[in-house]
Amino acid sequence: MAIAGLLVHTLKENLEDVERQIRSMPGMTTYGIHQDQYVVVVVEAPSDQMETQVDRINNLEGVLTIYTTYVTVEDELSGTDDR
Amino acid sequence: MKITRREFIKCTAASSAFMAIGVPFSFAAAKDKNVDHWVKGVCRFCGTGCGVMVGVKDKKVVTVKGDPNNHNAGFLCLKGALMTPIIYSKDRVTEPLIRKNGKLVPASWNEAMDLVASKFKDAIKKDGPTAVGYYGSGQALTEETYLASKIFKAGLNSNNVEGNPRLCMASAVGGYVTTFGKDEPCGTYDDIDAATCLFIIGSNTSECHPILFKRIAARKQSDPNVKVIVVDPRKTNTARIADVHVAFKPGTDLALLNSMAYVIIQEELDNYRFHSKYVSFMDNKKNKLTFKDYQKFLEDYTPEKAEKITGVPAATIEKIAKIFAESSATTSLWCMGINQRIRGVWANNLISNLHLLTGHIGKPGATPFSLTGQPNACGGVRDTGGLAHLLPAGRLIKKKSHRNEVEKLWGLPQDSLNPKPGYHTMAMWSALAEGKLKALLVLCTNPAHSLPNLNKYVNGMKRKDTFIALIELFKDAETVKYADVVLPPAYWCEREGVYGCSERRYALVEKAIDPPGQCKPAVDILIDFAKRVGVDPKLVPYKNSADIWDEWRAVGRPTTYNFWGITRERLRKESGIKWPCPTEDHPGTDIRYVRGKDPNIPKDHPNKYHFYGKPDGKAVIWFRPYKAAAEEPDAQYPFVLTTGRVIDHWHTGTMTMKVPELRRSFPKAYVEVNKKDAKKMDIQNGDNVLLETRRDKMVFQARVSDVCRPGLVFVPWFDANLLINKLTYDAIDPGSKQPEFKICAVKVSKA
Repeated sequence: MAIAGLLVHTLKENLEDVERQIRSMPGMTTYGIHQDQYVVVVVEAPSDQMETQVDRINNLEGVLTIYTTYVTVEDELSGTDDR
Repeated sequence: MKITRREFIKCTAASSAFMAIGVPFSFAAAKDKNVDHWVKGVCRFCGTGCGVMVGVKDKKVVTVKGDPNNHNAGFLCLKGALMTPIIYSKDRVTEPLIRKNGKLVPASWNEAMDLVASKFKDAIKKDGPTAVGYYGSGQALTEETYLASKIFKAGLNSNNVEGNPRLCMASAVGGYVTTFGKDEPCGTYDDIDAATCLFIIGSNTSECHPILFKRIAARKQSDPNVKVIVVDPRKTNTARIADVHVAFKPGTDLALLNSMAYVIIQEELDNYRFHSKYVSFMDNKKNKLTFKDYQKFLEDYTPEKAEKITGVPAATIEKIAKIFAESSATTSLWCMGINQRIRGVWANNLISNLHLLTGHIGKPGATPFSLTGQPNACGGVRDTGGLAHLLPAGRLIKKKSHRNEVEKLWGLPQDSLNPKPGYHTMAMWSALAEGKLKALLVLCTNPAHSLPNLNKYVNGMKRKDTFIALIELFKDAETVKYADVVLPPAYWCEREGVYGCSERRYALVEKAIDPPGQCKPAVDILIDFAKRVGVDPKLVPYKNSADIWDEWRAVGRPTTYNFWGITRERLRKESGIKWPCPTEDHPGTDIRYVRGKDPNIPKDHPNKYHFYGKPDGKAVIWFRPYKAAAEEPDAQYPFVLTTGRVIDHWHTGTMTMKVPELRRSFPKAYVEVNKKDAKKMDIQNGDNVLLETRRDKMVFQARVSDVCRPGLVFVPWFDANLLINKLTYDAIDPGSKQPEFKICAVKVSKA
């Protein structure tokens, strides 16, 4: 399992929709809308699904881009390398 | 309330996001309990140079987050946030390796270094100092490049000192030096926040510099009057936020930029007071001409004439020229699309021309700003003079006065430095292929993946009578296949040193953990090399990289780069400082060439602007005619092939392919084909497509979209299994010697 902190940069007119849709996705916790342009999101996902999850957000209407502010990989260091 | 460890981590993740946008987040649980301590650093990837905080627990790096005090204000892109697994990759080289009977086998440091030294000494003895060379990188630390350059130029009398930055931003250097007399941008990233027009040409900022794109997007969001113009033959993700996207015909940028200048003058939107006082006009023969001559020169580039060359409607050229000139503050951003061209220097000049013509320079939000691809190309290679024609801090090898000054600073006898510039990058690899260059030390870069027209140069690397010593992190890097000795370096936060990013900002990467196995800091490897190869010990008196930094500060001090005030102590305390910074109490410089802003200009200077890089204090508007690409499409090879990056991979992918999340998002290279072209050739998404150039051919899976304009295909170049550089062309800009990676002719067919 990996945990990532994200800022989802969104067009003003789509902000509420984007926040609601992210909230309904499994493994996502939203922490509100900020400065009329950002949704703060924490994603929990098995690391092999992390990018699929992030892609789902990226494909929402009005999402300009996603910034990752934090990813923990501590669990994976002691776990297996999937290469 | 009892909080689980998992919730602690979630709160930490959320708090980092809040910190990035400056919102207080007072979760009691948000303390970093999963980290023993944080160590300050700089991201290992692109030239944006984001500040990072490296979280260490039990002497291992467990996480990376954005540094809230650096320019990125706590933000990181996905690549930057995922650096940790790279450190612990099983593919790390952790002991010296020597090639015996065709196979790389472990050896002691002593045996490996003795072998390297003997090969270099033999080559020098037999063929002189020009038979040896160094090929470095914009990924190496400043101290590493400064030291390597000094060892070769001063210690071995060989100016064969080059590096990957030649492939990446040599044309930007040429552009700045010819226009302003001095290298490096005059503005900073802060200009993005103040600009009312962002003119982005030849840069997919969104994927290649995501954190700067964030600033551009935030700027546009904050003020609906801010205009974004994206000029790119591909409709990239960057173009998504553009007010105007101009998909011009590849290789016609010079005509387009000249035509914009024509419109600006025709519409009387030029700043006559500014350019009549601070600008000289010059043609390619360096004749000083007049504004009237310039107008006459531009008559070949009326929007109607330019439309025929560029494929851009005349009305669009007029529109973007007007937005550029009429906005209150215009910042231009460009990158490899402009630099990796056969006339990259000229293209750089023409962008600066527009700024000098309109006076969009030296004011917050108004600047011509070149972006770089590597984390330390600017600070490490450009500034320290880590190229074959340069000496430290903007000095030139061919200038006697510059050589003499450096000889004095380095304690060398007068006139002892070699006055002849060494091989530039492509000449260096050709010389190796021809057997003229016998021994090469390569640090922190992967030329067997990154050079254009690879087959030609890889054949040279395979020669039995030449010797390549490679300081390389990963066993699976392409160049390892051709190395005779591989030396294991300490990676990123396993040692300490300075990175200097695109905005003249020097920041310290501090040591967070010990390197694995027998890995050593490259500075230690270079000092050891110097001693064994017989360099005068007085030239390398350093105990560590901090000693080298202090010498470099002194060497830069007599120049307009002067960063004497950026001491190691300040770098430890602060998250980067922008030069010039002459004293320890100087805050650093945001705007160059302006009185009151640039410490190089006396406060009582009569003029507001002073382009001190030029003898007359005037910047130059150059008359640069349109020139097509070296290899234009024709009947036999009717498409244009261009290459570039994707958001999740960086450079040759040796690092990002080690991160499962990144590797999975882009596991292999593909070819992007325009929908209309695909229809004509009956190519569907996922079909195999054969690309064939005059150099080689290769099959890629198709991604059909409207990203490329018709007639253009794009392939990302990170994939070691699909080396697109076997197909690219190695024609170079005669000024900057930078190859034209961005354009070659290709045949496209369904495989």
